[in-house]
Amino acid sequence: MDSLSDLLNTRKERRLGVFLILLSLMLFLLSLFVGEFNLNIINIIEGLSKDNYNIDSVVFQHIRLPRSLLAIIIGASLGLSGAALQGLLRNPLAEPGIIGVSASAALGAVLVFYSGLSLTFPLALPLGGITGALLSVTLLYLLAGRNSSVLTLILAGVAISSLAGSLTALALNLAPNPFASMEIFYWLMGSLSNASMEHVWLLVLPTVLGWWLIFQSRHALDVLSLGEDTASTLGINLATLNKKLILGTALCVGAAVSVSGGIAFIGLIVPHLLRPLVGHRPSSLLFVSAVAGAALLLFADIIVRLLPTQQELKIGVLTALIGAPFFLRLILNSRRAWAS
Amino acid sequence: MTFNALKLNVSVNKTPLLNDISVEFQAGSLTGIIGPNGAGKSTLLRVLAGLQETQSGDVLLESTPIGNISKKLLAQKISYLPQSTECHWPLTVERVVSLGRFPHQTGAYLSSDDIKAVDDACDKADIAHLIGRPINQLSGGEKARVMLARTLATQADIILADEPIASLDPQHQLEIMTLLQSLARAGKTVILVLHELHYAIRYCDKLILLNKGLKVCDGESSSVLSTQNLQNIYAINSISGLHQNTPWVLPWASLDKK
Repeated sequence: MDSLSDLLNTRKERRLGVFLILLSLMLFLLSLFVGEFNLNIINIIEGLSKDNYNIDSVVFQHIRLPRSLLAIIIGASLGLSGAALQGLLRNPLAEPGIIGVSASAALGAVLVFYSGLSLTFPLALPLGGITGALLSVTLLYLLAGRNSSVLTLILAGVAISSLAGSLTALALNLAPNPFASMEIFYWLMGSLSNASMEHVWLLVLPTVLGWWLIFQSRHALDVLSLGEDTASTLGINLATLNKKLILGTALCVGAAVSVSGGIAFIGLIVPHLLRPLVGHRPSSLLFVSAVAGAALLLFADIIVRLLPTQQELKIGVLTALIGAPFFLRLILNSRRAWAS
Repeated sequence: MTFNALKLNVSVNKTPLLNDISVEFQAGSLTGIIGPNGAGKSTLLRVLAGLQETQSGDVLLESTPIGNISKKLLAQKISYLPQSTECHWPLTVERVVSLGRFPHQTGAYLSSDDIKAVDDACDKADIAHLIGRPINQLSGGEKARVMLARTLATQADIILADEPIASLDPQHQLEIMTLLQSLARAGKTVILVLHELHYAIRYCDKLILLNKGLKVCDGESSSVLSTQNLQNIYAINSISGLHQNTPWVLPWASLDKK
């Protein structure tokens, strides 16, 4: 039998982390070179190093690179925030898309877009998304945070989602310019295809801040699995923990949604698949979920580029098509929890 | 280590739960908080653990109100075992027990001291054979002992436990009560909420009898569990005696004629 210190070490989890990082790097390189246009590495290097622009280097620098970087940042945010919300609410079905955080972030971003604020300063768009996300996570926590009944959480999420969705529809409905509403509509479906380096820069600051806030609270999440009373007597300040996690999630999901629209289910699938591999520990789940979220979004983005559809499939549509049946299966498996 | 509470008043939504309760605990002694349902036992324990706000009064550790002690330091000094054995994720037994080391940890890693404390706590709570198993696969009694081991792993001077033997079979009830008594003998301040009067009278050095939020009396166990108190407060008739010089009591009949 293994000794106690062997059982309590985290070597296996670190190996998993390294594997996922290598996988993501591979997918990142692959995604740089997959698409309608075949890139030639030598042309790219030549173009970038000598400021001697050629088509290869322009496509690389302005289309492929930002798109792949966005997939990494947004995928990591979605995977991480799913794992963090599940830890905070002690509920495996919590996910930014399902519980209405993404929809609220989208509403915030649409309002900024709609009001023309986004033209006055570029950071307004992610700020709008973050504000929407923040309001919804706070509301959700007030409605369903203290007891962890699956039913309350999902119902609260449905209510928040439909409220945000109908307000977004109202904005679209009242839009003076039908082209503007068309554009918003397409953006809402979730896509990385209009990525630019500016988007990446807009995203980086709030996202990294959000990641940092979430990672700071990781050990407290383990203790929280014993319930709030025990966590409190073990020295956790619950109010601070909640604030950090709510703000952290809102920052990274809000910023992500404001750039890419709603990409659902990454935050559900990734932590669910990885949880048994890290001994179900909420703290260990965070990092691997972030890396695997990046890998999954990179992968999904490669797939939509390769699929022979007339118009490129929206990545949000693809993740929803895969994620919704997965969600259904999770619910079927956890039906017993609904009774409580 | 002095630990006492002064004139505690607690009410929730204007319903008074504790009225003017003052109690004192001695290091090296096992104290039981007893009383009928709704007496305020768990509330008093939660106040002592710093979980329940009071309208007035103080819980003092070494004469310092616990509200003025940092949460981390307090968590090192007082460990609390709630009644529920919930664990929201199927963590392994040793992981759950190691969470008791959280107040002592600075980073993610368990030091060799931490691992020794976990090992020791598992031995004491008789769960060493369960190591490696996910907690959701254990029986209610096994879970209760894992949670007790988690409490012991903190190695706090003061241990507060809310009905620690409620879901155990007699063999484990006797073992856990003996363990708690031996912890007290080793110098710890052990405070329990108990419903089982026969264990209370046999194992506790001192009992605090509560009724409807008031302290009826406290003191040496057999004097608190007098026939008269059992009639007046619990509304039961009881039989009692001595076995090997240890008092025992057995609830026999309800006095309630309704």
